Amino acid sequence: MTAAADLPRDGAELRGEALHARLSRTWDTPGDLYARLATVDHKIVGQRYIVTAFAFLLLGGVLALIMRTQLATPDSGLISADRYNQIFSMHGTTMMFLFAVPMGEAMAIYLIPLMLGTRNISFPRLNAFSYWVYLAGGIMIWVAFLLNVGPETGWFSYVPLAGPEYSAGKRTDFWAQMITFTEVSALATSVSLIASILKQRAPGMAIGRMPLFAWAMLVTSLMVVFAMPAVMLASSFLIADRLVGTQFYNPTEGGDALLWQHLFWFFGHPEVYIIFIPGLGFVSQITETFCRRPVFAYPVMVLAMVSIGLLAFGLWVHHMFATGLPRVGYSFYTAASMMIALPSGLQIFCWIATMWLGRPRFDAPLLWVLAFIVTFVMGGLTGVMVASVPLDLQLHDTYFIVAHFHYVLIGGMVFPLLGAITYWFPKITGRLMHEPLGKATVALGFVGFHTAFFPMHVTGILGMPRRVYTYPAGMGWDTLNLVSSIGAFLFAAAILLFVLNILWSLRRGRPAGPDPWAAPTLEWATSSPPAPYNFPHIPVVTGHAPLWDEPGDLPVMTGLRVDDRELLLTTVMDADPEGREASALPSIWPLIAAIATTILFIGSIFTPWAVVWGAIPAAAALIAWFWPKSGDVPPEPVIE
Amino acid sequence: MRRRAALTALPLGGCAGIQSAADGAGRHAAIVGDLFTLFLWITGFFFLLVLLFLGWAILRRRSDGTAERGMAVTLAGWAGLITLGLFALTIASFFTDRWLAAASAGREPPLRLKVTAQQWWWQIEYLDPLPANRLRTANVIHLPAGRPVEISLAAEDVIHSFWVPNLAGKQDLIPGRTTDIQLLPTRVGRFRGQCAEFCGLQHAHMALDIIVEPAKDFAAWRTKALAPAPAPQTPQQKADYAYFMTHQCASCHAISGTPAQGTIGPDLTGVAGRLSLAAGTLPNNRAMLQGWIANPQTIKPGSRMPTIKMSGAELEAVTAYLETLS
Amino acid sequence: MVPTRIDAHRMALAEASGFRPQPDRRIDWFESNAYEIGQGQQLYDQFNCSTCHANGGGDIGPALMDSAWTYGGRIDQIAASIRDGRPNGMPAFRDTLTEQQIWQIAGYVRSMSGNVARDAASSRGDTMANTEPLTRIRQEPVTVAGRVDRSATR
Repeated sequence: MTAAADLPRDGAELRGEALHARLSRTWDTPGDLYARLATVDHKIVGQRYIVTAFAFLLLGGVLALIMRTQLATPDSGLISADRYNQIFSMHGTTMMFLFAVPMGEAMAIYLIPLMLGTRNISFPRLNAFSYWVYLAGGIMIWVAFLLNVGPETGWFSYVPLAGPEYSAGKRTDFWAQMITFTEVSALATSVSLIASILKQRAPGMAIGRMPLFAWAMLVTSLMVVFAMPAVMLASSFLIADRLVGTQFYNPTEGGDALLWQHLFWFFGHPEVYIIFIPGLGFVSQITETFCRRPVFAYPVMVLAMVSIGLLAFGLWVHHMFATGLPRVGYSFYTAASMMIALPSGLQIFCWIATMWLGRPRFDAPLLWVLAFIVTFVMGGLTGVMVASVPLDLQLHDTYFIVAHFHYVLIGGMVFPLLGAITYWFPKITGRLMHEPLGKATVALGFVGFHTAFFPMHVTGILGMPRRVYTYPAGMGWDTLNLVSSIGAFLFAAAILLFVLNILWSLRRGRPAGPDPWAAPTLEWATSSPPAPYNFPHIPVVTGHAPLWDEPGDLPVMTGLRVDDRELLLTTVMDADPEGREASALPSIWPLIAAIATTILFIGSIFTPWAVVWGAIPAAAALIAWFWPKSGDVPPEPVIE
Repeated sequence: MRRRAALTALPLGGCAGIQSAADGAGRHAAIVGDLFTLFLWITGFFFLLVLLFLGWAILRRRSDGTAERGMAVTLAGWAGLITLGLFALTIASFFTDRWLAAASAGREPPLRLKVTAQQWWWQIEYLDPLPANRLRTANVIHLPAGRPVEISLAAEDVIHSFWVPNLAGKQDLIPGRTTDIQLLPTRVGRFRGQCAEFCGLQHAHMALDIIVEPAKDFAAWRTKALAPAPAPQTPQQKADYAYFMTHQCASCHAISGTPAQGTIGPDLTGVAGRLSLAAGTLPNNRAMLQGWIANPQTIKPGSRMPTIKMSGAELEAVTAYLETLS
Repeated sequence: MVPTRIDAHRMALAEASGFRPQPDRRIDWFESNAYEIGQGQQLYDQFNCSTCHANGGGDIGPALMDSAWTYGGRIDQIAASIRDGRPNGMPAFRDTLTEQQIWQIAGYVRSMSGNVARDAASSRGDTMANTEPLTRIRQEPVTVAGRVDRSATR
């Protein structure tokens, strides 16, 4: 039995090339297919997640272009009513469930362990499982759509339209089950992120010194944990109504059509903040780096994000102002919906103040932040408008709302995302993106977006409802719709430019060193792309901006084993080192469990017995996954 | 009030329209229009502040040692300003709610209607304590100017939403519940409403015509509408009538004063006098009517009216009979 | 229509001379298309079939969800019953409904005995609970005059 003191560890005796060789052997993912399927390296899983989510963005965008082509002219016969209804439902579903939430998670999966100074995410196998389940759900719903069994009742699928009588066939069942896939996937990743952020931070990274992106992901992940069960309940009731004839949403038998709305929107409103808060994290990191100073009023920023996360759970009835609920209740939700503008407004101030006080460098990522500020503030202000019940009763379910939510979602999440991808591209790939093309992309994207979506405010006020596959001529909507459609294609061209930039830069981008932007956070302290083990020694942090606080070599903490996967755990508040944790080895069981789960979920679209019989392989896979490791565990010295 | 609505109209150009929330023709829409103007000014003011701050931050000449304390004070001031602004808007919104609820108070007793929405048309009933005065029609509402209207809303199948932007905000019609909406039309004219909650295949073609007319004209219309359909006179008319009553038409549609008493489709009493057909999908003239009857599934695919194979003469007969129903 | 011995003889002669009867493609279509069955469900309510047949259990009229069929339980035979009417009270709907609507209702009636594609049936309507969910009921064989009609079993 090996004594603890004889185990190979990183430190004074083992450094540099020799350390790199030992650690690579322990942490690397070999190139063969089995290893790539069984990997639990957060960077590889993260890249897969990012690419998959981006692919869904492009697919959803193509659907949007088809819709805009149809709506460019009145009484267009290009697309039939049924096809159009499937297209707008798939557009919303893809963007909300398959792109927006997974993309935030994906960036976090890649960045958070690096930003926190640790070697891997907590629960690495659960993380891998999350990706496979997400991929399966996304493929399932898209295959269903291409086979003419795609959802047709909108991304929030109100009953009774989505119920067994009025939505024939399996279309809505596929949609409801896709929710199960994506919500299991989101919960799995969120749990992993919460544990990582709370327990795996570098020594000295007290919770008040954590990067703002880490705060954003902590708040987002906690919101996922509390919000997702509501939609799971709603979709399970819907599946049960449709598959086995329960009466949850049948008013004649004591059910309620509004039960669906309450359950869905209790999830649905936090959902949009789950989408938006990672964007706030991106903006904070980019602003910090490109203004060459930490974001102004860090405590205010943190409290703003936390309060947004809490307040978001108290707003959902503002989606139901037209349903005839008691007016005194509505007043509460108006007040809450107005209130949430305050933390957002404070954050906007802080970012602009950072620019004011710092020395901004207007490279593409910061330009995306500027686009974000202008666009998101407009979206937030139209949100304040529709928080008012009388105004909402005119504007609800019109193109004004379509404009509002695209302003906050694209302005608030997509613009920061494109800036974030540009910012972290050199870290992920080792090459910089083409800067002049990046600037042109921002300009084209900004112009295209506003051309497409600003007229929709007017169209909505002029009476055009949402979700219509065509509209009559002569209502005053013709020119506005044409302009919107042109803008949509301009915006799509900008996205295309962005994709081309990525493809070009992968081959020909200027090689980036570890820290091309002179950024402050820990991920820039390691090579680009990072080694499989992230950091040769665990860095120690003395302030909020480690690379600026300690120019030159970072102080490090040594002593983790190099022959086995090991992480350092620290306390929640002050990040004092607390212990070591073995990090999971690669395993094929997450993939197999995901396959078993997929069979179970897809089977239960067709028969309830799938839940019973499908549980058996799923249970078997989980048992194999959790089977305890055997072998000697050498005694470890206790850390004081 | 008109002038303030015009202030919003200025930047928006042509915002008058028969289905426009910016062109208030009813008390409720006008009150909401004023609130929108207030919101637009206040939110516009905040947006301008943000843009100015941003512009200044970008363009300013950097001097070293800029005080962070000044910025902290400004942050506190900004928080206070936002809070004040949100308070103002929330209070304005609450008061508007009260004014809307009281808009019909102190006036003559309201005209009561019941609207039942189905996929994809509107059933309209004018309620009255006397059953003989209860009027049923479809896809068109006549209203007297200046009199409050109270509409009870029900849905037959899925959730719909009743929305006449020129007159008021919308209200959902939910199966299993009854909701209601108040209107108070102030301007004579023709307006268009549209279903505003996605309700299936032909949600895009579920509109209705609202005709606001002087009280005298409304009373005249109502008397005429209550009268049974004119009986056929000529042999040709009698043959047309017989064809209609003995074939599929009468099993779904109702025409008052005739054996046709179907409730599955829209009531066709007075159909020739309506402004549009198929819930606002087609303008009403003989050619459109004939085209609709001949093949509804090409015009409004998925609608519940089937395409019935008829010979040319039979189609003529049905169209001619319906054209007599004004 | 119950095949008689004379019909069987004629069929045999026809087949001997090379005639192959084509199966009515509508049979499979209206028994496997969820949209058509869903429309049939709504039409069944709107045209008051439940006045006589309840929700398949029968009342004044015979039950539609069991295995006993007086005039044939294949979908085209049910459609014929709806179209032409039957003695003892079943009205003829040929002047009230179109051919497609009749077949839609017939498809829904078939779903009451579990004789449609499993993933095309709708579990219930938004009405009072009246039957076992139609997605879960056991398939009933079709018997006519005491003998099982295999051509009618899906």
